[in-house]
Amino acid sequence: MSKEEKRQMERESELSQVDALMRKLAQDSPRQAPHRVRLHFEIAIQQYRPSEPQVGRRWLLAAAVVFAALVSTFGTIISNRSGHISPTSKVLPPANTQPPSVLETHEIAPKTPPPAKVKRRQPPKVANPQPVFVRLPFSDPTLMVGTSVTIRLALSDAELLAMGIRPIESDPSRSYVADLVLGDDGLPRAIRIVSHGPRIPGGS
Amino acid sequence: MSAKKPPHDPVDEKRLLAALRERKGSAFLDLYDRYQGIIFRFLLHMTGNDTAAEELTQELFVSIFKSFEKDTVLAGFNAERGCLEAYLIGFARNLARRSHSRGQRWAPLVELDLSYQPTLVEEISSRSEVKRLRQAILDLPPAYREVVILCGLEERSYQDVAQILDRPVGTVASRFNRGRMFLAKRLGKSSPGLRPLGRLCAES
Repeated sequence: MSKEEKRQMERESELSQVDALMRKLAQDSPRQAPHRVRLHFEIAIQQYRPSEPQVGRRWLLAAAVVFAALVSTFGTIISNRSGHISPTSKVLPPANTQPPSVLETHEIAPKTPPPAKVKRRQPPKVANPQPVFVRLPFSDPTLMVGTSVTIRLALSDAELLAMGIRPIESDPSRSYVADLVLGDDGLPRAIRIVSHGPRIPGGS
Repeated sequence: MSAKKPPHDPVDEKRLLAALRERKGSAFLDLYDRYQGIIFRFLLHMTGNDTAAEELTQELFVSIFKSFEKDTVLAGFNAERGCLEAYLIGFARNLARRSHSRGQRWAPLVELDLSYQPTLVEEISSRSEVKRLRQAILDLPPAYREVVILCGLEERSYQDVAQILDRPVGTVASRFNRGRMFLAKRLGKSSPGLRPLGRLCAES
């Protein structure tokens, strides 16, 4: 047996001893992780409640937002078409247009005192302590009301009738001070009777 | 050293994956029960510290559990590239390396203050030869250590280990044989063909 062969045999013997030791180490090593690790996961699984997938939840949320936006939009449109307007929200600055029958055009504030001119002639009788705007019956219901300007006019019974508003007591000598909400096309959309009294000379 | 093929059933693995993706709690525990042993042993021999191995095993499965809750469980696993076990061992390997590179040095068992009852590993380590082998394995560079653990202690085939480590089969075989020779030398037996440790470290 040559020296090289002898060395080779020794090496193989050493390696086989290493292999045997590795087998022994593998056999004697713990086969599993401590049981407490599993217990942690068992508890976690018990507390875990499967829910909808994240993607599904996102879609659901997006759908809810879109639905809310649609409801809000349509609600606003329907509300406007039905003629319900907020007296404060629809008050707008005076218009540049001054129709001949206009007594005065000014910004209407909730606590704006009646015009001095009217007061000077005749203390107006308040028809309604809190008058509200009502949609004019002959106005186009498909058009938005209160979209631009509110003007104050003195109107006779006949003019009120022409607009579709019938006074309780017809009196040709009576005049009405009313606020008209004009649409973008200049036509009246809604009316609010501010006061009534004797007919104003020169009024419409 | 004989390398036996690990039991691997692709159909069963697919079934487990499908159950995991349906977020069944029992599937997660099934996954844990199947693979915690190999993961823990691998980490135990990589770190030489059963506490660190336990923590890293837990970290691995906690990570999977988090993805399980988020419906992205094992999203990085590709069945075409290898089996689930290989994927998980690769995961554990990365955890061990990251943990080591973070500067965590695992104190060998001999340096631990064992105020509690010694574990089985510690009892094994008290036996001189196995203890020396264990220390010699820990002294191997990580690239050699993981091959020795998988091929020598876990008795995985070269092909499987090559797949797990994403290295050519020849590299795995070479590292395993050189690792064995290094172990033989460290155990006090001469091995003329063995390269010095510095060379091994440089290659890893």
